[in-house]
Amino acid sequence: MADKKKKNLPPEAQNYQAFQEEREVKRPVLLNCIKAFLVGGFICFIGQLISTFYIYYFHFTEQTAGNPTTATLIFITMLLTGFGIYDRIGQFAGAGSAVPVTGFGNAVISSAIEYKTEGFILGVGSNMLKLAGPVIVYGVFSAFLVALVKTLLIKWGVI
Amino acid sequence: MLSGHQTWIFENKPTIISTGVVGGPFEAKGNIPKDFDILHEDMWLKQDSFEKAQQMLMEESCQIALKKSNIEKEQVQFFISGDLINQITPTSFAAKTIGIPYLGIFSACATSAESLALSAYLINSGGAEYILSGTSSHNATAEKQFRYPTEYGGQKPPTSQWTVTGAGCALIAKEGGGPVVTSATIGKIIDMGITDPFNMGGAMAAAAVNTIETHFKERNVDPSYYDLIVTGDLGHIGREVSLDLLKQRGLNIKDAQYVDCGLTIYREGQPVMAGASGPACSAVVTYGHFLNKLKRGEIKRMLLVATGSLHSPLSIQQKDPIPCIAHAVSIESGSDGL
Amino acid sequence: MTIKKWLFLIGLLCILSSCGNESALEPSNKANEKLDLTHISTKNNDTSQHPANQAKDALSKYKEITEVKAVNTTKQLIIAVQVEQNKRFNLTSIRKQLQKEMKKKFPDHKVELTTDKKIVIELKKLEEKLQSESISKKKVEKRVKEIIKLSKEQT
Repeated sequence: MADKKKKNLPPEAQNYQAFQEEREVKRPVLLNCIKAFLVGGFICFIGQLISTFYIYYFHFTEQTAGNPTTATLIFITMLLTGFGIYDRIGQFAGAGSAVPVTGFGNAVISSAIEYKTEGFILGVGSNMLKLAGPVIVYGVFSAFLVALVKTLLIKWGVI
Repeated sequence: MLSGHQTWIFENKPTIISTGVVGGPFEAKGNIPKDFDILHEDMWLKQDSFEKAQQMLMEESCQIALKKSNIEKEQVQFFISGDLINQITPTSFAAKTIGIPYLGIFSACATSAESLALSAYLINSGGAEYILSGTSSHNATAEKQFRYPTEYGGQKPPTSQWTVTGAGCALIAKEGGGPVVTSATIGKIIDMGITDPFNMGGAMAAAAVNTIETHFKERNVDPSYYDLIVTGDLGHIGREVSLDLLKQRGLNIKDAQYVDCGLTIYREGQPVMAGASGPACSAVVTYGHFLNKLKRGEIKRMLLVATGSLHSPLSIQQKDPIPCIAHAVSIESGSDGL
Repeated sequence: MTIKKWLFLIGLLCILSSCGNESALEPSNKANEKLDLTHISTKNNDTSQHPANQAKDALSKYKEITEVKAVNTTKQLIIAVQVEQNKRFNLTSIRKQLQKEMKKKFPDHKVELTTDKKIVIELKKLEEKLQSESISKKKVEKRVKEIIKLSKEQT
């Protein structure tokens, strides 16, 4: 990846990096993908179960069952994070447990727990979204861009 | 005294008269629990914060070292120590409790060797009679500062390392029975342009190689002089890289002779990925495990090469490469052993 | 590396194109036999379910539809369908197609067609009540209104 960067380095460093890379343990990308697929799929399966439960036993439609399902999943994540289980799942599953909404919940909750020792305002308050903040910022920003594009396309009569 | 450009020879034989080694729960389950003086069950050590817990670790290890030596703390001139956390506060607060004149130092995971080298130098030159030299680290404080919150479920790559929870402290004296510090080589910053903070072993190996090479040249000895060459926290990758590189440079180091503290402290199967790291890693394993070996006569001479990666979270985010350092200190069994 | 990238791209295209195809449903000549059609017969003329039954018959010629429930009042007709799992990729276009067809077929009624599972469940309950004739005309109208409102609820 760092071919561009490497050019600026002295040859000694370039040689060393090549030497080092030969011995570096690589991330098992394919295995990680399979693990992520299975665990991520399992989390979504649980989500589907919860969603179906809400449709059958409460006054929710497929449309409106999404919100309570998300809330329930985040609640479960909160318990798992607090008991120190979620980080172990994360080490095993990688993206599988980071991409679903549970990963977002874990990022917020773990930060909140971590910074409790610095107090509730400057600790928990200001650090809670330290990891999850970028998700919100770029989520809102990309939603804005997509909405802008759609508005323009409609205005020009493309769609 | 000075031999070559960056090596000190200590002809007055500063001696490590006692050590104090403290560890946490994860270390208790590790490979060498018997070499610890105290092992804590609780990561918090019953304190309000992890930083205070780290301070407690440091204080305890100093107290143990003093207690074992029967030296009053008023007799000790200096306390030379440091750690990883912002502005080395856990160490400074511990120094406040201990109440000994204090020199705070920082070279990340190489702090143990740096403080040992400085202490030996001061004693050798008559600047002090007793010096407490040590360092501490705590897994949770290091994770908080350098990586993610403890409970965050991020996936660590196989090159990442596990910060040791513990503290190691040595009391160095002008005379007395015990292992002798014979020489020290102060390392240079080596920057090979590696920017991945999850591969510190790979980055630090270059610094270790540089310092080891210089040490042998300037002390004018052969690698076979030492029974063990103990690196600080290179881990699997760093150890392999540095050993291969040393062999390539024509140094005849045997596989069994080249050990790493980061690979000694934990058992196979503990989830530490490439090995252990942290200032306490080299301090705890050297002052506990390897000095015990030295005292039992299993080894006669060892060279401690503590390696440190001197980056900060800020420098990593600004895409700066990791500057690495390694300091070497040779410890040999006392005159009775030689 | 480039080969891998190309393979990945081709794979992605295959997946995307297989999702996009055959959006519309093809009616077959035979009625779907697997479909459990309950024709509701009520003696009371006020709550006659004739249009609803007609709608069910019309929809049964699509073999992709696995379940269909419908209830009508004098003014309104609400239909809920379940579509085969692998056809759910094109759920929106299927819904639009069926809605259009039903609207054409029942110009006298205000037709609502939904694919929501919840509405299927609610309509099933209502159908059972109608079948046993334990519900008054007024109540049916009220219930249908409620269900239509529920089906339009957004998050």
